[in-house]
Order: sequence, then structure tokens, then C-alpha cells
Amino acid sequence: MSNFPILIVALPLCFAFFISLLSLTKLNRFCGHLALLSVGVSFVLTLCLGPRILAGEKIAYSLGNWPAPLGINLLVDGLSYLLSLIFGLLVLLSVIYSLEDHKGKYFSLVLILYAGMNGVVFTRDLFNLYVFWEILSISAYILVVSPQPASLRASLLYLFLGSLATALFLLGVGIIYALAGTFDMDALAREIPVIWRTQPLAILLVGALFLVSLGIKSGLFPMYVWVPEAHSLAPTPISVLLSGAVLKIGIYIFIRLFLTLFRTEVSLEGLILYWGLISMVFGGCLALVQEDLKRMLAYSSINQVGLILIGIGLGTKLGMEGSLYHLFNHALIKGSLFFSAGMIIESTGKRRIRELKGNGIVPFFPRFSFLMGALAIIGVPPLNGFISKWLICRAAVERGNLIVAALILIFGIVAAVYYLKVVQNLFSVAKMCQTEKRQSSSIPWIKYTCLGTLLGGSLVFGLLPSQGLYLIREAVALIFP
Amino acid sequence: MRRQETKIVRNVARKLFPVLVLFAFYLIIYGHISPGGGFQGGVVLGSSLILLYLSEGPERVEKKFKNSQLAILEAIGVLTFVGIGFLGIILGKHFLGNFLPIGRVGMVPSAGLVLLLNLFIGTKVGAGISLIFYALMKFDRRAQGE
Amino acid sequence: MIEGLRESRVSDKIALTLFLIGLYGLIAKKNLIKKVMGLNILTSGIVLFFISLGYEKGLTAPIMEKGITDVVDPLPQALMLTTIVIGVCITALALSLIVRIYRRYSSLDVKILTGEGDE
Repeated sequence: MSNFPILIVALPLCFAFFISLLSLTKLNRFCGHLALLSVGVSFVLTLCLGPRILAGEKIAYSLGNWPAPLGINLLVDGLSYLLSLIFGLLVLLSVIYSLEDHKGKYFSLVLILYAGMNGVVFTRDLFNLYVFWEILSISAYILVVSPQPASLRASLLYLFLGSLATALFLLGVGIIYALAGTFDMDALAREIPVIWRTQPLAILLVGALFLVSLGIKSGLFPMYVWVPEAHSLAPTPISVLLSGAVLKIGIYIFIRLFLTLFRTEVSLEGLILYWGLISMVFGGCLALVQEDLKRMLAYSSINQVGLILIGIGLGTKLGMEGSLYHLFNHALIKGSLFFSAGMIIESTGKRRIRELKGNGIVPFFPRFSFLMGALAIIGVPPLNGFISKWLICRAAVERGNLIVAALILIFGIVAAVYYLKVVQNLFSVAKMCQTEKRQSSSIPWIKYTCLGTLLGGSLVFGLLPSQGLYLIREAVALIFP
Repeated sequence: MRRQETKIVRNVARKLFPVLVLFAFYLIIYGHISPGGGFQGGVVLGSSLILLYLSEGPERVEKKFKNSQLAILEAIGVLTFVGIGFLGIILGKHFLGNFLPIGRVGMVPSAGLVLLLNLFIGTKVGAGISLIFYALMKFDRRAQGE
Repeated sequence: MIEGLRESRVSDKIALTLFLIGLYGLIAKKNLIKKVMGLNILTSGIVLFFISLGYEKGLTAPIMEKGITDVVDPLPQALMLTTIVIGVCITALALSLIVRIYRRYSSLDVKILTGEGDE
């Protein structure tokens, strides 16, 4: 049990290289199954840690048995557990979804991505965090490349912006090392308030560098450019991972660094609140005018990430609860939306929203799940999106910030407009297309299971919100003890 | 077809190649007690192959050092590294925990696992660097062929 | 160890200059290859900054032999190795993407990235 944190990170890494070895031999076609096995084992290990974490325990692990300030330490606490759970689920479903379509090196990259994500959320060492972040980013840059030629330029754009972000982050880490002489987060939590008293300007500089870098990585307002490109042109399972997991990494690092580590006297709440607000408004407005289905979903992601930031920026326990719950819910909902969009595009061969009209060949289940996902993300009561939006709204009202609450509601309606436009097109009766109705390429049942799992999750966590709130209780307790 | 390099370049490169490989292994093996280490040695190892590649032309080098073999070598390097880490867990220590005798300071087989790990890192980096170079060169060749 | 931000050295200024040159190249240059170069210069600025953190005049290499007491901080050097490796990976990936982009669009202009002339 005590070795679980490192096994969760190292097992996929080990299998990744084993798969790249296997892809050179004749057993090429088993790569996907092996990847599935390793992600499954890692995910089960994460789940096994669950009871202990949710009981309020923290599981620490030091690599090579070097104690805290010397060696690299891993720590699984409520927040990292929540994120690791999301990543495990999404990666597992993405691997299942891509079993038929991809082979070889693709799975090895997905596994490296998974190892990087878990590494980022578990590590307690700032530089190690940077390294894992870079590992996951590089594999994400490569995975964005799909058979579509335009995805090459999306990948390059993502690479330029992403490397700039990590370079800025690294510069910040360097300045912190110059100030404090350590990378260990626990030591830094003690050191930084002391340094703050003598050199506030340097700490502010570090904070600004980190904020810009995290803003790029989680696709916030002025730095969102890569999000629609990469999300819309990547293969479907990768879009799911990018939107559900990779965007969340930025938010995780933000919470970890600014809310549990640097508790300086400067209040970032106002900045975060308005940043989130602008991002939400901007993402929502741009999603309205999109013609491409997946691109619209990408702008909707910017909108939702803004909403998550608003909850954090409110600075209350309730707001944080809503934010973390929305982070979890958004991963489930966007996962199901991207999966169903992928299936719709796969079966019709059409990406534009207008062209989907009256298309009788879309199978029923993707249409239905797109409708459910849309309802969930708009915030219609029996589904999980409602609960988290409601929590954030209530937190805003409690803070007396009625304008924010009103804007969240208004942008719920805007989301309704752009999602229901697609739904309307999907469900409109086929009239003229009867003649050109071609044999739809059948979708293997295994892809339906991915969609079903995510939809089931949305329904369960909407009907039983106490279960979801139980999951995030420890994470919130970390920030608001 | 690439222009053949002059005889001088080819001879010098051929003479330089074994020296570079030796130097690479020196850097790797003495990495734990002097400047150097797995990555540095690996890069020298990779650049020795690159030198050969540049002077002899791709066709002749690929006969000796096949791309697939290099890829296998690379994967094996990492796998053994992680495997040694897991061995630490199995032997009752932590991941990458030292289970070899530490030895005397300043001697070559000392510092426990570090020498072993450096060796595998060196293999991986050497193979990786030359593979990256091969891949980029192939782009070039294909572009010229068009 | 380092106590507070020590007084700035020449190397810090060079590092900052390199960083800014790299940033300029990455943002303002129109040619994709030049952008990659900018990224590399930016990374080397950071590497120089880290290395100069560990450097102290008059100290020796951190190899613990007899009679050696004052050694430089070995950590930044070890870490910068990782950064250099990452830099190599990013450069290789960016260049191979650029080669494929060039084949598709026959241009290295940055306008490609915004999707002009697509479909």
C-alpha cells in the first residue's frame, strides 16, 4: 500500500516503453490491450487509495528513501486524489475508445501523458512538477496530430504557446530557488511568508510569471488561442483528454501553488474572479458564432474553465466546493460531449453544425448522449452540471456579488442557445436526405460503453450530489481547514 | 543522392569515431565521481554516430546501425532503468532505493546504483539522440527525392 | 546556501537579455524556424540564470574528496541538464512538425498557424 503513489506514476511509464518495444515486433496489434491493462491497473491502484484518502489521511512517499528537503517526495492528498481520479477515468475511457482506431506508438504516448498527469498532481517538488508538466505537454503536442493535415499547424501552435508557458514557469521556479534555496513545497510554504516581508517585489514577479504560464495552459481569456485549434483538430479521444484533463492541470497547479502554498497577504481573489468572468463571457460569446461542432465545444471549455475560476475567486468555502465539483463534472460532461461529437462526425463525415441538419444517418445513441451532455452542461436539474453551477451561484449570492450570479445564469442561457442549436439540427426530421442516405459506418459497441459510463456518471452525481461532495470534501478541507 | 564527402573528412571521421565512443563510455562510467554522467556520455555517444552518418552518408551507416535496433536499444534503456527502480521496491526498499554496496568514495564501482543507472541512461540517450537525427535527416532525403 | 536574492551579477543580466531576445524572436518573427530559434534562445537564458544561481566565485566542483570544504551548489546544474534535454525534445518535435507543414503548405510563414489558406 505504501508504494502505491510511485506505482501509479511509474507503471504506465514502464508500460509505455514496453509498448514502444512491442510495436516494433509482430505483436503490434496487442499494444492497445496492454495499454488498457496498465491504465486499468493504475486506476485500480488509485481507487484502492480512496478509502484512506477520503478518511482524511495523506499518503507520502519519498523516492529512493531520501527525506524531505533532499529528495523528491510524492504526496497524495484530497486534491491530488480527486484530480488523479478524473485523469484515470478519462484516460481509461480514451484508451478503450481508441482501441480500434489507433495502434502502436499512440498508446505509448497516451501512457506517458497519463504518467505525467499523475506525476504533476502527486509531486511535492517544484522542479519535479515542471518536469512532469513538460512530459505531459510534449506527449500532448504529439497526440494532437491526427490524419487531418491542419492538425499539424494546431500542434505547432500548441507547442509554441505551451513551451512559452512552461519556460515562464521555469523562470519563476528559478527565482524562487534564488530566494528560498529549496524546491520542496512544504519548506517553501514556511519560507515564503518570511521572504515576503523583505522582498515582496520578487514574490510578486514570481506570482505574475506563474499566473501567465497557468493562464496559457488552462486556456484563459487572452491566451486561449491554442484551445480551439488543438481541441477541434485532435483525434476524438485526445480532445476528451485535452479538455477534461490537460486544461485542469493548470487549475490544479494554480490551486496548489497559490491557495495551499503561497498564502501571502496579497489577495488574488479579485483578479481571479474577474479573469474567470472575462473568460466565461468571452468563451460563451465566441461559442455562439462557431460553425464547427468540435470548435464550439472547445470554446465552451473556455467558458466552463472561466466558471471554475469564478468559484475559486469568490474565496469562500462554498465557492471552492462548487469549483472543484464543477471541475469534476466538467470532465465527465465534456468527455461525453466530445465522444458523442466524435461519433457523430465519424458516422456522417460532416463537422459543420449546419450540415448536420436533417441527417438521418446519425445513430440514435450519440444524438441522445449529446442532448444529455448539453442539458448537463447548461445546468438542467437532474444532471450533475446543475449542482455545481448552483453551488457557485449560491456562493456568489452569499458574497453579495449579485452581478456575478446573474452573469453565470445568463451564460447558462447562452450555453443553452448554442448547444440546443446543435441538438435541434441533430433531431430535425430527415426530409431531403432520404435519397442520399448512405450506409452509415457502424460504430463498434465498445465505444458506446465509454459514452454510457460518462453519462451514467453525470446522472449519478446529479441525483446523488452528496456522493460527489463526499469525494471533494477532503480537497476543500485542504484549502479551507 | 547526397554528395560524397571528401576523403580527408571520411578518414578523420572514421579515426575519430572509436575515440569518441571511448570518451562517451569514460564520461558515463566516471559520471558519479567526476563531471559527466549518463546524459552527457549519451550525447557524445549519439554524436559519434551522427559524425559517422554525416561523413559516410546514410546508406552505409544504416547497414551497420539499423534504426529498429537503435529503437529497441532506447526502449530497453528506459525499461531497465524503471526495472531497477521496481527492484528497489521488491528488495524491500523504496523505488530506486539503493540495494548495492556503496563502496569507497572515489572508486569507480561505487555509489551503489548510480553507475548502473548512468549506464542505462547513457544507452538510452545515445540511441535517442541518433534516432532523432536520423529521423530529421530522412525528412531531408525524402524532400530531395521529390 | 543562498540567502535572499543576492546582488545581481553580469551573468544575470546576460540571462535576462537572452530571455528577452528569445521572447522577441518567439513572438515577433514571421518565420517558423526563427520562432524555434527564439524558443531555444529563451531556454538558454533560463539555463544561464539557473547555472549562475549555483555559481560562487572561488568554490570548487561538488566532488567530495579530502580537503575540499567549499563547493558550489550542485542542484541547479543537475536540474538544468533536465531542462536542456527537454529543450532538445521540443526543438526536435517542432522541427519535424515544421518539415511536414512545409511539405503541405510550401511556406514557413506564421500565417499558416492561424489557419489561413486552409481547406
